[in-house]
Amino acid sequence: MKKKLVTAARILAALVFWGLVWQLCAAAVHLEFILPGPIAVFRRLLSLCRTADFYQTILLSFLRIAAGFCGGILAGVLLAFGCAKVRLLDALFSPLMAIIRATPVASFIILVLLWIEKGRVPAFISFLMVLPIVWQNTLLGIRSIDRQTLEMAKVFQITGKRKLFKVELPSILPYFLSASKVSLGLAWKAGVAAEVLALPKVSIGTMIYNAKLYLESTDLYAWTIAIILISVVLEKLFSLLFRGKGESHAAN
Amino acid sequence: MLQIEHLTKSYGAPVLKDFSYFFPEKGLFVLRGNSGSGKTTLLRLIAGLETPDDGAIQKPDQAKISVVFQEARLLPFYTLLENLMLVAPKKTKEEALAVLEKFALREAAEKYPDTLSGGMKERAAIARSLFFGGDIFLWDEPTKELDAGNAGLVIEEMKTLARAHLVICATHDPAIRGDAEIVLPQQEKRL
Repeated sequence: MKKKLVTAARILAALVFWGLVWQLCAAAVHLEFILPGPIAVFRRLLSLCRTADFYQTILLSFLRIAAGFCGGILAGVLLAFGCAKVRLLDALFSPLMAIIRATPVASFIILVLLWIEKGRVPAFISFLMVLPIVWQNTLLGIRSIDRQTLEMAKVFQITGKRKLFKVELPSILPYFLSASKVSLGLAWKAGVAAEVLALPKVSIGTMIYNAKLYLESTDLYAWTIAIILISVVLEKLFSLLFRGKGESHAAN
Repeated sequence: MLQIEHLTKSYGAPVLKDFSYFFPEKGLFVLRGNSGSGKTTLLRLIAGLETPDDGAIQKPDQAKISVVFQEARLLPFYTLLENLMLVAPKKTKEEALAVLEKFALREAAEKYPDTLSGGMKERAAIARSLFFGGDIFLWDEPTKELDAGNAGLVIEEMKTLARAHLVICATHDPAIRGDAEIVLPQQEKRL
């Protein structure tokens, strides 16, 4: 408990320090449309929090990005199992995944805008961000199940579904969870970036774009802080949800 | 019960060469020999984890084989109790706890393997083999990590088991004495 309080105090002190730096910079620049101060930004954020539109915007953005995230997870896991079993699939998908990973997200957004309806772009971009990470880590997990474990399963007659669910999947879980956690933040950020370029009707990205267009820098900063806070909350929720699950427990 | 005929196995260099032996239905048989003489290889061949280069192993089709590996090979994401229940899901938790109790592991039943000492893990692996049950027990260095007290416990258990089952134990431990001692010769290493 004491350790937690010390950690919290340390984080708070760091935030206060950087808030002061921000305030000093804002005072030095003295132009609110270039760099508004933290107090003005937090006031704006609080006023946004009092409107229903704010929550509706966040919810719609979240749903779009979550759809892409879930699709990426599902496709990544299924493809990883396929590639582990069929060499041809692995040979086909390995270079494709490398290309997806190496392509700048902005290029993808522009390309995808030409292909599909703009409201679906953020979900598709999130999907593309999640897919290669989950695919690679899950495949690594499948390939890391060691020979000794498989021999143990064989001699103790753990076969078929029991082997899959009781031995293989729990062995892969730490790899899958770490990939999911990393890709969650990435999907959120890339999804909002896609919204900024695709401009779906109601979205955080559209709000950011409008704030930039009308030089409402305070709004721009307020929405950015909202994105950061949501990202932190999502990561914490994910950690809480899977606490204790998939821990590696040093191999014996 | 278990007939081994002219068994040969090499991994580049020969490990077992023309080994033949008849094991009856029950009894404790101790495999001895220097490191690299093929003790583990012979157990792995009997367990069906390796295929021989030559020769044959005759055993009843339905013979159930239970193994203690040199390493504990407990699944790190399950507790000891769960590791036992995994190999014999039709048995009850009480039965599993009773087997753990035999090896002074009841208190550790809910613990994960990475929190246990090497000796505790080894005893858990032996408990798992007993809990799984079988007709033929293949135990590879079962007392390697154990202190004298716990080794004695395991040896007594092995002797009890051998009254009704075939137990083949590869070991360097002089305290383990069986109904027969089989000394495997060191094969010449190919240069």
